[in-house]
Amino acid sequence: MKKLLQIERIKALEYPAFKVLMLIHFVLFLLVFLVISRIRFSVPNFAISDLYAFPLVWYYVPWVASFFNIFLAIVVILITGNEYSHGTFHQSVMNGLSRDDLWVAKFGLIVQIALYTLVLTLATSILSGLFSTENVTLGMIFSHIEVVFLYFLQALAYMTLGLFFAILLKSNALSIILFILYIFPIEPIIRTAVPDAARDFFPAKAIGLLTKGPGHWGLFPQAQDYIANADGSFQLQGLPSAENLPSDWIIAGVVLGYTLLLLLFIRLRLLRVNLK
Amino acid sequence: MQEVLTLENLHKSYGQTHAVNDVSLSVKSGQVYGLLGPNGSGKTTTLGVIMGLLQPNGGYYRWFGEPGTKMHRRRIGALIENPHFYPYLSVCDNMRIIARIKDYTDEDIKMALGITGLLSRKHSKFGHLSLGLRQRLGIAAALLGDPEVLVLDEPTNGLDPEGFADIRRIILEQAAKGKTIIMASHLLDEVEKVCSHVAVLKNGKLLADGPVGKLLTTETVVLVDADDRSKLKEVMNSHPAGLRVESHPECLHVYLPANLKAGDLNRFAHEQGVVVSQLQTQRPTLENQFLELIK
Repeated sequence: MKKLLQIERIKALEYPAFKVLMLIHFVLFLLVFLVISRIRFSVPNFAISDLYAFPLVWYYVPWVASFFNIFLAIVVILITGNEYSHGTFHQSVMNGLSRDDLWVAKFGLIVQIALYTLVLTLATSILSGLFSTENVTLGMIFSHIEVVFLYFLQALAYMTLGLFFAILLKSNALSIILFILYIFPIEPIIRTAVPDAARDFFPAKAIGLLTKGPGHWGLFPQAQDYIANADGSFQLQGLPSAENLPSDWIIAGVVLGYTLLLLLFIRLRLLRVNLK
Repeated sequence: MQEVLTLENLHKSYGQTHAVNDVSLSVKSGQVYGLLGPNGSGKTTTLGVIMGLLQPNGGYYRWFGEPGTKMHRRRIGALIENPHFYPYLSVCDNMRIIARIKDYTDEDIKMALGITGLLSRKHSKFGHLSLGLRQRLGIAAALLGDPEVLVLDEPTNGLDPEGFADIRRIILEQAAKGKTIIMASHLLDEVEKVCSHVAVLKNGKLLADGPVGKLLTTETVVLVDADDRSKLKEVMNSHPAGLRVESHPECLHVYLPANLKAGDLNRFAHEQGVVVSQLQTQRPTLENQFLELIK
């Protein structure tokens, strides 16, 4: 196992496209994280700077990071597709890796990339929270930290979906295009054909739900909760109504299930494929 | 002698095409075993199956008497079809990945690169190497860790004459060290010069197999003539070795086994009182024999 991870690290870290893409990922993540603080808009009882302080920072940072998960999945597709196009799966098996070693090594790489973004997200959240929160207590720091781990699962799931396309289609261009098209619009179109209750359990939808947008941070009331006053001003009425979503832990279970299922498909495919 | 590789009724098809059709053969320790056949005869497919790259549709293969696993493959140095490496990695890093898989050291890498003359290029990216150097790296990867068995698929393919000679010298050196070598080739000359045993394949079927000397007979034809041709023919027919003699319009064709030479024939005729007026040795072209075999 250690051997497989070492080999994957040599291959990835020496691959120019990998280095450049991971650098772009890092820079874009920080830029988006910082740039949002410059946005000016006003909502009652809310300031943008609240996003950078505990506890909202635990929602805000993973949500920003989640934009870039598709990017990471594409990196995984590239690295895997290259193994086919360079014939290096062939070379590795011939030299003494088993078919199982091939997918275990790639999933190991996915876990390593996911751990990297987990650390990046954790560090950004904690540093931002510590700098922006007044009177920090230990309890404040760790409340809602679970959102980061949901984000970690999301990163794993997206990259595994990418690996699935790469292993199935053997071609970089085809895999990347179909991966993106699957997330939008193929799956959304299929979702319109099923009852509302089932829609949240489709793979891409469920994976996406692991990091929820600002509408679900219990912070902005839904539009319909504003009652227009006679004088034209708006007034907040009651508590914001939460959208009827399955709980985070149900979604996490569903995504974990999909990830394992994808790995099973990947394994079966690799056990049978001819490596010319 | 120890069995190194056994194929039993091996079968591999792609749709309607039977790339390997019911092939059984066995390779023993120390043999240099050639798989000979024209393009598309199933040589590469056979090697692909035994190296775990292709899944057979029927039959089985055994390495060292056991069903093939990754642990067996680590004991074997192989080059099948083209050398496959990461173009963005250096020669050395590419070798390092294979060394990691097979548990060999940097010292082993240095040795394999030395044998193939690649030490001076070890920092070059694989993508920047010429075709000939890529083939050498493929051979270097196969030689990594001095494995007891080599599996080579047309190892001299695409090389210039110098590279051709180099690779052939390396293979002969390895054979002299007592290694078992399994080699696919469509070059009869190569098989004859390098191999001790040969299996002839055509359209996925095994046509013949056995020691090279037996299969590719090295009978020489000697063209002889004398003033008295009928007397000469009588004398030739009376030779104790029981030679095959054919009459042709210009001369006689006498087929000599490997242990006789044209000079022996001349001496024999002279002893029998016939003076030979023409004596010419003709090697049968291997191509002709090969075409005869695959007919």
